[in-house]
Amino acid sequence: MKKSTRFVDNSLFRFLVVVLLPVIILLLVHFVAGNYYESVFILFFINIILAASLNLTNGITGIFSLGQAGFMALGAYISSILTLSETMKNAMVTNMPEWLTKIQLPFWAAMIVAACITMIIAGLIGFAILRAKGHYLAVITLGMVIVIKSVLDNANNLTNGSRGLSGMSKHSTLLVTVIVALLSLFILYRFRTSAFGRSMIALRDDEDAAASLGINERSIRLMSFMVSAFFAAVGGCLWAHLQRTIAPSLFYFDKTFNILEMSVLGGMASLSGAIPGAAVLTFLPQFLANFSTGFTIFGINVPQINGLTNIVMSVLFIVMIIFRKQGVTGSSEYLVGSLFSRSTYTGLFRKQTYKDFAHAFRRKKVHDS
Amino acid sequence: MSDKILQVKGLTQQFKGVLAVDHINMDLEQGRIYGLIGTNGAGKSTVVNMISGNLRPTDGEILFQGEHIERLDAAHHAKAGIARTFQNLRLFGDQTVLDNAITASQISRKYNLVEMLTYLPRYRREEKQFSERAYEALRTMGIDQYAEMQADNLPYGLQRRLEIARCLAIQPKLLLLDEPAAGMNPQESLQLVNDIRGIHKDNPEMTILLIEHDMKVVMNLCEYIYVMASGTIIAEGTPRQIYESEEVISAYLGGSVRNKRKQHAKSQ
Repeated sequence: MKKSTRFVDNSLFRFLVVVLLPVIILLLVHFVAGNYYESVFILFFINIILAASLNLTNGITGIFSLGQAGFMALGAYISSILTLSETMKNAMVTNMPEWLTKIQLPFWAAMIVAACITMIIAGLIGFAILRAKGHYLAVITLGMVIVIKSVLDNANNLTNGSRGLSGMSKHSTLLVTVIVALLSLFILYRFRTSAFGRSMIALRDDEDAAASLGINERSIRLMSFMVSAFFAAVGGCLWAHLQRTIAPSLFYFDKTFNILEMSVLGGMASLSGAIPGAAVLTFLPQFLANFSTGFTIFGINVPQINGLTNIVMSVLFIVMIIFRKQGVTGSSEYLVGSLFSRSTYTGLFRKQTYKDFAHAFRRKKVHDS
Repeated sequence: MSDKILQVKGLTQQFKGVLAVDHINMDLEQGRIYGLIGTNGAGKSTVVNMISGNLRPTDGEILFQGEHIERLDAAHHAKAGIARTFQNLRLFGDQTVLDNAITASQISRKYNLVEMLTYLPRYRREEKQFSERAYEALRTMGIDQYAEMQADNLPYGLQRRLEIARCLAIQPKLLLLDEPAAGMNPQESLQLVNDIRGIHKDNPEMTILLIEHDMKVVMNLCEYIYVMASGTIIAEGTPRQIYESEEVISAYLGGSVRNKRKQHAKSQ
């Protein structure tokens, strides 16, 4: 195969940018910055999982789903019910089935069980709705969010209705979230680079051509939908154990469109897009919150602007749609690809890598002067 | 008599009020090149769509290697060994040329989800086979040096070749080429004829059904030709027979032309 000569493909460069830099930032956040920053970063990694799971259906398979908040809700609720202790459940929920109150699983087990149950539910739903396509499917999945919310609202003996559940212990530490996010990205990346992922992309680009190459449309779409729901549930589980209190109203249109915005902004057609998308939608609102009560710029006093965050986000979104519709990453899998490809790490043991790196660096300097 | 690979009996397709294909019969023997010609709207592409499974016939039977396939979907047809190209290009434009071909060669996938996620030997072995087979197909069509290029960025002629390469990556038993020379200049279509002949020589088992407008291509390549007009087969035979057939000439050129040709011959 042809060897790439681009500087950005240099192993050392990839290692520095994609592996070392994030590790340093995370260590700083954990040991130097306060609790507040840590929880923002935890949210960032949860958002990466959610956006990446949505990218699998929306960008890669071409199933335009708006149901991510629904699956997230299922994951959050199921895992919360499984991790809460018997006394807590009895105190909060009246008439919960006895066998369910007795069950208390460790966090990891609860996460996996919740994700698997959600995946099975997604399979049943998907079996019914995936024969619809395009806008029809988008509306149906949106309807699914409504249905899931009203079920959670009304299944009083399981979910405590609209009051929601609270008192989960905070299992989503930075380390746990980073590990889960990396694992999720890794598994999703394996999907994308395998025969299944190629089939998904083929289906997105041209259904007839894909079918004539022996790709079974229904099973691939269903698989994509189920895997996506699995990781949405994982994200929901982490989110529930970060917030420590959940209610059905938190998993509604706001959440679905929030995830969709991340996915579109970052780049739907690649898993890597989840990273810049989640970064913008996590950090920018937190940053803007500092200014929402008014601020001074160049000696001018700006009064309090209501909904400053929303205004800035929507302007950003519109600008993005006009000038770079494909999102930040487009269909390039540079970020996630570099993170998980072996060459990033094996390249570090080769002298040539350092030579190329130094060479590119020197040449750049000559250009500058 | 060699094996019948494809038998079409009374194949019919009706779109609302229009009878696009009306009870046609075809018998394809293994390892030969067949041609299907006809005027615009004669129903050639509809026949191909039905054989490839993209369109379900209203009536009639399709037997592939003696088995009924007319009720199966396109994916099953492909797995049975029927590959097709499309009249208007249907590539996966975002993907590289190589990935386009691998998407086809992965049809023989046996590994499952667990093996994929855990990176077991069968996964690695099969993935390697896929890319080898894809490269081979690209090499056959002479486009392996563009493997890393994005399919959309290829020039038109090469895109056409890529589509054929994608079919070859399936290693089909029956190859349906729907107007492969459409939009090609004479030079390119001449090269295409040579390529198809090369494919046939390399894979003597493979049956090829060529749907084409360009009479030069068809007459050069095909051993046996079916001629369609307004949904029915009006003539079949060797290129020589077709060339001399009264019906074909009148269907193609209008009734009186034969006389004109005679006059023309006389005057020379």
